Amino acid sequence: MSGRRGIDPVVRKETLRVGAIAYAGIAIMLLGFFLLNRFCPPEVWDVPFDYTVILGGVCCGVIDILNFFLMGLAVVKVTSLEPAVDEEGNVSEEDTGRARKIMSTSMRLRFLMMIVWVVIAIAVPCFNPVAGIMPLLFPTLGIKLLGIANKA
Amino acid sequence: MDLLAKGIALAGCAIGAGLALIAGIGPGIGEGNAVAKALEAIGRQPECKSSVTSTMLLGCAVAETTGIYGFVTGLLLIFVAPGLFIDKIV
Repeated sequence: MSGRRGIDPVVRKETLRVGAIAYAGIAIMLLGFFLLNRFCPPEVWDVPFDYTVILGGVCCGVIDILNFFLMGLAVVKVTSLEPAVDEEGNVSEEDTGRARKIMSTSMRLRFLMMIVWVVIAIAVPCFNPVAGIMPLLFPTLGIKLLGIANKA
Repeated sequence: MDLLAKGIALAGCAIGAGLALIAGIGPGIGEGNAVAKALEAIGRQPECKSSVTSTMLLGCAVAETTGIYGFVTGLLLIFVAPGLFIDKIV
């Protein structure tokens, strides 16, 4: 069940995959910032491309990975509950209640972490707010796109 | 008149942010149901644990999407939109 450093191999594999998706998205976003900064006239749309954009993107990628990793730990915790099953194959209400509680607590804490990050990205001048917020959407977008690509 | 317009803009932002953050409720309920069913599946077939975990991880990530959209929209309405609207009104 546990792999190197006590992390479930499934969580490690999926986290690495999501991290790769997130940073691929961030690279595309940075390229977009660069191109807009170069070719869009400042009087039309003044798009910055400086260290704040890169720092915002990189830090948001870390938050993405941390969010997914913590979710993975919660999922593994739920799946290791070893529930008692009755003759009809149903799990007791107590076990499902515990599972729901673990997931909702994890989700609340992860959303709190994201709220703190978004506030930091908006309030602290060394982060570009757009570059610091947009990558939060990349992992789920990437997973959906990969799902569509796998079906096609 | 400007004050009224500012007030309406700020109230709109606050109400919109509140409404957007309601989107956080759905993923919570959905994830709870998903883990409950996953637990049932593992209880019936413990040998499927690894594949259930893997599928559920991606499923939970996708389920959270709407919550994240709502939450980002809400925070933008709280922190960014009032400044933009007030600058335009003034």
